[in-house]
Amino acid sequence: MVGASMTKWLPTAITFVPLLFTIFIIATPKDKVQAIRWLAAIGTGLALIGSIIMFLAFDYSNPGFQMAIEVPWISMIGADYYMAVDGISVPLVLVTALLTFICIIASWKIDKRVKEYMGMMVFCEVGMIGVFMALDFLLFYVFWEIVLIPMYFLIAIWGGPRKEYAAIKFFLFTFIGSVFMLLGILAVYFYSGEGTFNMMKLAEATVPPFVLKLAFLGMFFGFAVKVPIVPFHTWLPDAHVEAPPAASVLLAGVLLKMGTYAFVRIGLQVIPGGMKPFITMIAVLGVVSIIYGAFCAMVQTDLKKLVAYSSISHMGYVMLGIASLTQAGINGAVLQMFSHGIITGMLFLVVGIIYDRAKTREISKLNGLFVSVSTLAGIWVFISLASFGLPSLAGFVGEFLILAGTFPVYSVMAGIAAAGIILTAGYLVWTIQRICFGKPNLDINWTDATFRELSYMVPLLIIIVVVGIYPAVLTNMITQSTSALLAKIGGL
Amino acid sequence: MLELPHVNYAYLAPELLLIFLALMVLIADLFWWRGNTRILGWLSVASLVAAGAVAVPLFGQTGSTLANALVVDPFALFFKMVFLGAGVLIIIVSMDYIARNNLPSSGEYYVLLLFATVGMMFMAASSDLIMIYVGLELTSISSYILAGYHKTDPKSNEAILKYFILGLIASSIMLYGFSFIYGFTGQTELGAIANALRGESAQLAVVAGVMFAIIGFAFKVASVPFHQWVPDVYEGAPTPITAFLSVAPKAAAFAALARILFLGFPDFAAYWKMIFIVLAIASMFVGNLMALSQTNIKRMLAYSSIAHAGYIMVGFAAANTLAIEGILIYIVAYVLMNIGAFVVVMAVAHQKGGGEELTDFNGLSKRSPFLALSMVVFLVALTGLPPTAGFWGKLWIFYAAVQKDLWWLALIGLLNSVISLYYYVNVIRHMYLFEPDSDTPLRAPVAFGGAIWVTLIAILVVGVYPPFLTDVSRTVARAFGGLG
Repeated sequence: MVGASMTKWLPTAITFVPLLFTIFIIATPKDKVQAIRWLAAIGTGLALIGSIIMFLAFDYSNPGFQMAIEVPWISMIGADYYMAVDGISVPLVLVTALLTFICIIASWKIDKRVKEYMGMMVFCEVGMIGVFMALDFLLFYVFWEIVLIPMYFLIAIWGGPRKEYAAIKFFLFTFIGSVFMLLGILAVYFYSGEGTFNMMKLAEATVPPFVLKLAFLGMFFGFAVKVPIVPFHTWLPDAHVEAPPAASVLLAGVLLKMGTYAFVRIGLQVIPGGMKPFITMIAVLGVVSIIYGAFCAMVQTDLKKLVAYSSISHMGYVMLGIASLTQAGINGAVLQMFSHGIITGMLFLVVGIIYDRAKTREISKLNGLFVSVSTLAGIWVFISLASFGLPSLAGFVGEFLILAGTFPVYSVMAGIAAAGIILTAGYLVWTIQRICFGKPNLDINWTDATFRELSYMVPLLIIIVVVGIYPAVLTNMITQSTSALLAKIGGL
Repeated sequence: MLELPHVNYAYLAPELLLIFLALMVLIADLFWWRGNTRILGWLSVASLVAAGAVAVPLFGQTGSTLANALVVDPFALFFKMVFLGAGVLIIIVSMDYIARNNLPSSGEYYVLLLFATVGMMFMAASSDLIMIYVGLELTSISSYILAGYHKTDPKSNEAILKYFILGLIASSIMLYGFSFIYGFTGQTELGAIANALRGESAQLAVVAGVMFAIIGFAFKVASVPFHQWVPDVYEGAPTPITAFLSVAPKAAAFAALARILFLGFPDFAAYWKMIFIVLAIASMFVGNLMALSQTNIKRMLAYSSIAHAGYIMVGFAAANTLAIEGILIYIVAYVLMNIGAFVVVMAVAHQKGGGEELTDFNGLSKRSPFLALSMVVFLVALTGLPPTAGFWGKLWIFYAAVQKDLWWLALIGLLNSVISLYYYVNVIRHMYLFEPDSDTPLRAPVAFGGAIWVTLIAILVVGVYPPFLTDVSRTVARAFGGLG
């Protein structure tokens, strides 16, 4: 077992090892392509090892924050360097470190501007991981914004035909959102009168309810753009479709979770007084996202866009679970964040591989994958099933818990959301039928999944099964924190 | 019998030394190193450093001499250091620029820069309207000449003519305002003015006087609607001078403005705060919206500097101690990031076939990854994204606004950052997404690289650990004192 004095450095190490490697990559000459790839792999690999250690060293008996490090940062305004984890953040740190590492491996064959690509990818991880562990508002905001710049570059340089439009749209949308979020943070900071940005101290502070509501609305805007909740979602289909495969994986797998995580961590934990008055609105928007996303996914002709809209739909479930304010609902939401990260990450990886072979993502041109590339088709079917929540796979547990938690409080909305699962199954199975079966497209020079591709997909498949069969591996730690959270804020 | 006031020469030492050394540079130019760009340049740098070294012992002291015409306090010292630092950076990068563009008589060029710096030091350190005006004119007249230093370039000639005429009008308006104030209070010293006005009901004449004074300064800081000279002058002036004009005289004008308003007219705050709200909103919107469509990078940065004046004026509208802190932080951050950005512009234009259009930045990431990456940092800082010094400046100023119930003004400011993101990212787009016209690697002169490194590291270090700057600003602002 690792001692407490050691583990408190874990969050810092996991966050800043990628930064160190970004600097190494910058310092490497750009023609040393192989060295740069290895540096990126080692940097993200070390972060992954660190987060696995964090997962193993997690103390299940402690419902609060652990591995905490708290040192003054900008003491004059009460901002601390306060990093710690609880049962809600550990799964998300894990999924972030895992996906980033896998994205590096999946991007091994990228040969356009490798140094910049790997540098951006690794730098992006700093912000993504930091967000899930920062417990100081300013620190949180800094990490939140750090992600934008590398992601802009990833989309704008290595993206598809409309990459510039998609990249700047992503940047502008999220920046407008975070501007409102910053104003909300400042309002809470000012009216609490505590003179601290420490989230947990602000959670205890008394802030006038009116200010809390306004502050939440500001933050809501910031989080909702990131999730994205319909109607703040319009950047997502563009960004996902134009982004290179690995960036799509990070967008769907991690960036969207930053939004939903912020709803739990900040909305529920720090300013419940601001969030609770709007909880029904959030639930309704969640259901709207589920249905709207599913219907939009159904009519897409582009495989990647279909997966993008399915993300909107799935994030709707997460929002609904959070808004239920029940133990099961929030547990399900956190678990769904984890499993959606893995599952949709996988979907985007496979779409990327298919595109790599076929040079098209048009569903009508992709037929008979089972004949031409049977392994890939098999994987696609497997993760589609996971995505719409086949029991014994990871997607099921989250969705089931969310619906179970939501039903007692919003039975009608839970009913509609359950119907959404049918829609999900509808478009995913229909897609399987369209791309996996039928006569293969002979114009395309198909090669099945290579060893390198399998090497990063198989571990994810295993995780999907393990979490599906034995969800307690995650829910044990999630429950610790969510029950403490609910005990404090109460239900609806 | 005329009684001469007691002069404390220790307080005057930095200015006196700088004047003396500037004259020495002039003499050196005349007799020994006629037009030797390097030697004279380094002599000027040494002069600035020497003046800074002499100013160091004044840290922590508070006092005044020459009947309050010269004040020594942390506020003045803070700004003096900013001016001296900016002057050093500008002169260091000027040497290669002068050599590359065959600018005539470099000695004069440096001496004018040094005199402008002296003028600014007086502006920031004076508590007397007359002295402030003299300092301002010394700065302005030096700037007029420097802005027109490309003597054979019609663009530069147009710029200087505009700048000169409009500048004179602005100075006259300011003097006119000062005359109202003097006429009503019989004083030119700010403390005495405040005492004379204490308890008086707001007299139209005084309000008008303050307003005229603000208008004069609004011209100097390039605030809308007194900004028309800015794009032409910034485009026409030699780029190091543009960089200089965009930061130092602006900072000096803000310093003088703060002293006049906070010390001389604290009871009229309700009036001048209103003026600043209007100026701030107009400057932010006009500056940012006009910058969107610029194709010349110097013009774009000119409009962006108008917007930045707007952000700083949000601090004046809030006017509490925290706002002063914010203004100080913002000015330091702005000096660093703007000089940095202009040096990159100079480095790009320095090459054969280089220019100052946005298209000249095409593919810069391939030709010089270092220049491109540092430009990204400068632009990100100008946008106000963390972790850069620019973010903390904005945070402080907008938080001060939130404190004073001006949250809507903070929102306008923040939304303006979003607008500015678009044109700053546009430069990034040109650098990273477009193919370069030529593949020849771009090598910047050592001095440019040095200046970029200094500003880059300062921006990032302050960005990651702001107390380096904020602690100093707090001390200075506490000593200066805000309003409520």
